[in-house]
Amino acid sequence: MLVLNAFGTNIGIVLALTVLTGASLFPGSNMALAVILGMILCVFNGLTYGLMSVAMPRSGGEFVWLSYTVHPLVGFATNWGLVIVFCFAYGMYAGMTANFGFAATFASLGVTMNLPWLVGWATTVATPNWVFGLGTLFILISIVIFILGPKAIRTFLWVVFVPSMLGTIASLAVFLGTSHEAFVSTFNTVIQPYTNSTNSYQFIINAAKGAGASFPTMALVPTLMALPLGYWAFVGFANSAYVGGEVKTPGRTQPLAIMGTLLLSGAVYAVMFWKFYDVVGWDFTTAVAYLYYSAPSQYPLPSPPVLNFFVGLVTANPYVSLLIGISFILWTFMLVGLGPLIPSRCMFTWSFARITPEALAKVDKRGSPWVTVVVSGLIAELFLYLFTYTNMLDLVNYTIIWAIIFFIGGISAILLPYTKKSLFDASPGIVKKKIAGFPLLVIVGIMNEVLFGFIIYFSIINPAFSGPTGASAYGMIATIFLSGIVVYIISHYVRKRQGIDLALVWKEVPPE
Amino acid sequence: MGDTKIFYATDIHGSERTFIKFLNAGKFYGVNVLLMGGDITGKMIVPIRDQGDGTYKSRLLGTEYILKTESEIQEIEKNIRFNGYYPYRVTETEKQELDANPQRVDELFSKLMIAATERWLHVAEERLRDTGIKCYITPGNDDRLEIDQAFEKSDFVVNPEGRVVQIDDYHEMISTGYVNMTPWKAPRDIPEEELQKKIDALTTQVKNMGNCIFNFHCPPFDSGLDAAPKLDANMKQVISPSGVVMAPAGSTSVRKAIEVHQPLLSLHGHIHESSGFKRIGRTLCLNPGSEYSEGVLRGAIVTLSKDKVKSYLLTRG
Repeated sequence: MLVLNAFGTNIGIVLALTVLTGASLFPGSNMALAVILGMILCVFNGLTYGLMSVAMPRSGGEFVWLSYTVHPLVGFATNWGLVIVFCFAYGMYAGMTANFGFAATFASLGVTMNLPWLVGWATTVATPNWVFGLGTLFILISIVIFILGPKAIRTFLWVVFVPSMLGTIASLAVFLGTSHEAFVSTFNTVIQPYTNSTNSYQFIINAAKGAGASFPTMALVPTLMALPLGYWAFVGFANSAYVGGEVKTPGRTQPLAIMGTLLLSGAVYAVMFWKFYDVVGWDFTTAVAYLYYSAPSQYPLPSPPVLNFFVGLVTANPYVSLLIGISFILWTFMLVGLGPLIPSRCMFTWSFARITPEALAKVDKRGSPWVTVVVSGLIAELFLYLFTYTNMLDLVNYTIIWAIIFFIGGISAILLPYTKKSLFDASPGIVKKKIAGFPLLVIVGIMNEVLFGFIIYFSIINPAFSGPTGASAYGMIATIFLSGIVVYIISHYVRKRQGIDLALVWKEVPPE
Repeated sequence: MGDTKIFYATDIHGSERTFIKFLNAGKFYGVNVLLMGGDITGKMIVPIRDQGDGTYKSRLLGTEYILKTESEIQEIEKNIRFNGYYPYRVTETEKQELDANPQRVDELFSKLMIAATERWLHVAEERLRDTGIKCYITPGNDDRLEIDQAFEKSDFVVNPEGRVVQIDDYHEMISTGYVNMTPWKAPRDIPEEELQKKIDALTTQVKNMGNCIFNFHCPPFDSGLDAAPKLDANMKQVISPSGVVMAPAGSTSVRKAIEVHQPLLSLHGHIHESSGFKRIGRTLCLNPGSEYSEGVLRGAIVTLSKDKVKSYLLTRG
């Protein structure tokens, strides 16, 4: 489960993107500090989801919790939004594995190993038809893995996890053993063909200044402003909550997996980002981020400014360079490889509750819910198409949707001790702990709401971070959740005609 | 005749909380028939020890209780029963005698189990007799044979084990709580061949198999309703590098009977963690699973019209 959650947070992608994205969106922010603060905030989200998974060790996450504590309509609509977001990410990452994972790695390896043809490939795999073709292939691979069943999924997890983590550890080791002077020297040598300057390092800083960049010093206020990014770094760390029914000894495993992932990934991020500033340099980081995001026509580097590109530059060992490159591709691909996991389990649970047709609950002899796996893949394929050939997905504010789901999910933790007292009382001791007379579950639930209330508010006032805002983007968010409500209401009336009251699934029979 | 609505639950293992819920489910879900699929008795005695100074001591779910008043003792007894165990007040002398004589412990266990079952059946009668709701309870493989005598004393609750019962004008039901051998060698574990004979003896008595209900504690083999952790010779879960190894633990005889006779509905339990539904040919097979230890009553509401399953819903009450 720790491995599953580590994949959910996608340590490799976060490492690759966060520092430069932070430098662009929040000039003056220290992302090493921002992720530590984000980790502290996420403790409440982790505890909320971890404890709820122990109290109700069933697959489906907030669908199950909200259906019990509030109403199945709320549970379904929230979980429906989650499934759409997961399928969206599944399709989008299928495309990004090609135009980002492969492209950035080819460019990085091509430059560091002096292979111009590989740099050319980087451009080729980023073209729309290649992105769609490769993305479709990756989705098909993920469907096959999931249809082969739990054993194949676990094997996939380990086979991909080991080289991914080795590459990340290698990156960390390379940075820890590199001085700022060594980085500048190597950078100037390797990048000279792209800048035509013997001092490419200074060339880039000067280019950014010329393009209008400002160079603020590191400060607390922009770091606090970057907190949502510090939170984003951990999204997915509680994924095991959605497969609760498949977790053995959930009372021990779930809190360990969720909180362990949070602490492990937080430590890796903080060390790596701190070392990045130290080795690459503060002004250079600001300059590269500014040129890539704000003045792309003047951006001279052959690769997007991802952390592994800079790490790859300073290692003289081609094998280490290759390992780091493969690791980056695998970190991107694993999000696709695991794409069906949560949507298929949630859809299966809906069918179990008779909201969706019985066919969605079909499992094969290996125990794989193959119908929901295929449906998840088909939805992802649609999103891949939209991602590749249209601008429609630019309307999706991923951050706000996630925050809304976690905010609503947190309500179940606050209500459980009061609306389902018997279930709460029958929960393991860890769930029933009290602090100053108040259930721990309620306290962490309230803090969860504070965190996501802040994220939602901040996302609305700062579109640069969260994604699109405005009428169209809000309309898209409303459509996602309202469509879930409409599906539930239709199902309610269809089942009612068949003599089924959907709400009965979750109602407790009086125990006296 | 209108539709017949059945509420089926199973594997409550002595949990009084879930048994009371089962009885209340009749009115709560608005059903005509309550059906319990087996494994109704508890697995353990929890002693409440007289300390000789007017206080009693007991230990429940890892917590030790010192009980000073009769009402505190009654409260802990209620909690013990709610969690599926049998409370027993014992002096230090008797405790020592019991510790020295396992045979006596076994006899005491049977006595408490029969008494608890009789009390449950009495409560069932009190609550359901004037409601028009029929109540069937089948013992399961974990239930000792002695409890059958408790059912014989009840003129309201029906034990349908080993016979055909007509649950309404159109639907017959055949039942057995016996299962194929388990690693625990429970009281109603029998070899697959014997189980086959029991089932064959029942199916030959059915007049209209197309409308028949199979109420077999054991689920059909390899149906997805019978996936349980695989155990090694030391009764430990087999763990492979890819996690806990699951294996089908159902009965081939049950599977064969369903495939050959194609009843309308087949109800099962036994494997708590393998709840779900499965169609084998035309037959709808259900295993609602069990979460008795959490006080949750898992069940299935099934509505039968004259010749079909009109609807079904798995519940977590």
